[in-house]
Amino acid sequence: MPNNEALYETRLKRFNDAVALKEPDRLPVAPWVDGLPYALYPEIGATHKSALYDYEKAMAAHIRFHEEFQPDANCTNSMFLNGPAADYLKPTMMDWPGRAGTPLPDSSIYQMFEIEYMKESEYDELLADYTKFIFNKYLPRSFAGLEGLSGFRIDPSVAIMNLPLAPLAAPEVQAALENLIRYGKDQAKANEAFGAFVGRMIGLGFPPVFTSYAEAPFDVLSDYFRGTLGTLYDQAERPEKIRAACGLFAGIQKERLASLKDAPLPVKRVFIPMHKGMDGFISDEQYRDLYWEPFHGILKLLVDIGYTPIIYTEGAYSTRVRFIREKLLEFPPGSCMIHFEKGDFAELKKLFSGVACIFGGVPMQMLEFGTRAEVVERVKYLVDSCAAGGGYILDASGAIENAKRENIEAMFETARSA
Amino acid sequence: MEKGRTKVLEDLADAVERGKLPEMTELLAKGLSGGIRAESLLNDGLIRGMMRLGVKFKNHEVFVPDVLVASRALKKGSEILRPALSGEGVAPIGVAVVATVKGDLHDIGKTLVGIMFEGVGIRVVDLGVDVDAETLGKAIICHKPDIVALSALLNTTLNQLAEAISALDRAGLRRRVRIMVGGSPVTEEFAARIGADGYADDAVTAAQTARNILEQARRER
Repeated sequence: MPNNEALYETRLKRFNDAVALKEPDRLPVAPWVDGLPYALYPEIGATHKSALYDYEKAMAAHIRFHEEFQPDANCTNSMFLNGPAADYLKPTMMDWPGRAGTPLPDSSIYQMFEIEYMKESEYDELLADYTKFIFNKYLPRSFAGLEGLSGFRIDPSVAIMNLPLAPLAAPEVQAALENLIRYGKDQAKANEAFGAFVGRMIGLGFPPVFTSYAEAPFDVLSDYFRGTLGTLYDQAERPEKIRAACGLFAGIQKERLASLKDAPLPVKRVFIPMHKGMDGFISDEQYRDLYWEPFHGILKLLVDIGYTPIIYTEGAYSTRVRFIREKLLEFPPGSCMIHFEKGDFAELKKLFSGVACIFGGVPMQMLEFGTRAEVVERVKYLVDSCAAGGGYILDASGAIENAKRENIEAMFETARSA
Repeated sequence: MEKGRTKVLEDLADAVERGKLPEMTELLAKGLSGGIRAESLLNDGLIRGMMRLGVKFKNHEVFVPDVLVASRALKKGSEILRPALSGEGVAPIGVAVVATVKGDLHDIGKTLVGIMFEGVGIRVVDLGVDVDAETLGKAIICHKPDIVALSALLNTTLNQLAEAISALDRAGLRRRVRIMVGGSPVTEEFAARIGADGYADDAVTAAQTARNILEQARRER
């Protein structure tokens, strides 16, 4: 029976080999999970609310899942968000289980709202002075607990003694700044707890899948500034503003990501969820120009500093995959991983063979509502069409929330016996 | 006269396809003053343009932003025509209640569907997000919709689509409406499994499907 350290090394090599497009000793099975462990082990009493407020309980459920199913990585997708801080920062772009007055049950994952945090007329303000816009408009709009920042301005005129700092006398400005300090302290605790969890999982033999994150600049604009609807109109009416904003967001992200270069991390992979580039929502021309162009610079930087970008597509990408393949060909083979929620995996494997490692393939709807026989058949198909030669990791079509136990068992058993 | 009428209607359809609101407004005024019935301007001009755009969308010749801009133009065109349509005794082709299911607070998919529905001439009653079956039932009784379009964006709320359909069935309201479902995790197979009448992969196709359902129902009446 190999010890946890040996298991860790074996799994890490298995995963890395698949990513590097080399034949691994066996197919890596690493289905990302969100709420699944809470649903599978109700006796622990963990819910999505625990992942915000009671890390120990959430951790216990995730550890139990990994110990039972022995996946080839730490498949916990996202957890340990800072619930206590949300209670006083009061983010307006989301609701979450545990918020006073929320209609959401404890078992619900947090939910994001699509609001225009930047109006169509405010692009120029953002572009002229990002920091001023963020402090005086964006943060006050996106966190009710930071509304006071709208009045926080440093005017250097009549700079006698400390007069430029006089706006700090306003109680609402002080309240916002106090919330920021408090947040910093709480976030440090959340970071520590998550770090401890990752360390514990490493100790149990499960290497992390990724250790940092990034986002396509177009998605940043659409998700957090203009909203989907606002961005769709902007695509038709002011694409040049989108281009400029995406350039700005790309630069800011690259600055942060460059600092990862020498960070002592157990794996060097960066998770990048892709939200608004799916089929139909953007023309091929704008996808190239507005979506991919600023994003490509981020990918290039990551590859250059030795990180593997994990491109995690959401929605249908059938009209994009050939273009994406062409762009990934600019990097050495095996530089990127790419997850697909939908698509013909046999075709995808052929298309990305010698280019990038693909992952995904088991529909979450099948895991929740389908039969064991359907899961067995699907996994056999994935193994037969994707596993040979490396370059494939078995995963679900998204991070799993609810599923029948027998279907999860069937997924692991079939992948390992095939 | 007939040639002039055909040209106005063709130009109208073309203006909608290109989302050209000022051009469309001008053509509507020209059509009305030239004696073309408002119903014809709506159906043979505006809606025809939008349905053609739907086909182009399916063929990847145009994209959601193009259809959105055209829908906005068409909605304004319908408002211009409303008094004349009312004078002619023309009612909208149908009414749709749109909602995001209970436990799901996501707005965007449902809102896009609502805009696209209006873009093909369907009157929309938007119930918002986190809508339970009881509220849906009340809306069916109150608004008498032809279609109920339900959205779920989360895997955790997929079940609520099935719950809503079952609850409407138990309340004896299921047969009064056609139910369409959609949203990121929803598949055609899932829609069939829970007994929905219609499914679409995207908001543009949903609107075309809804319009087809209503036209079919009108023919059968």
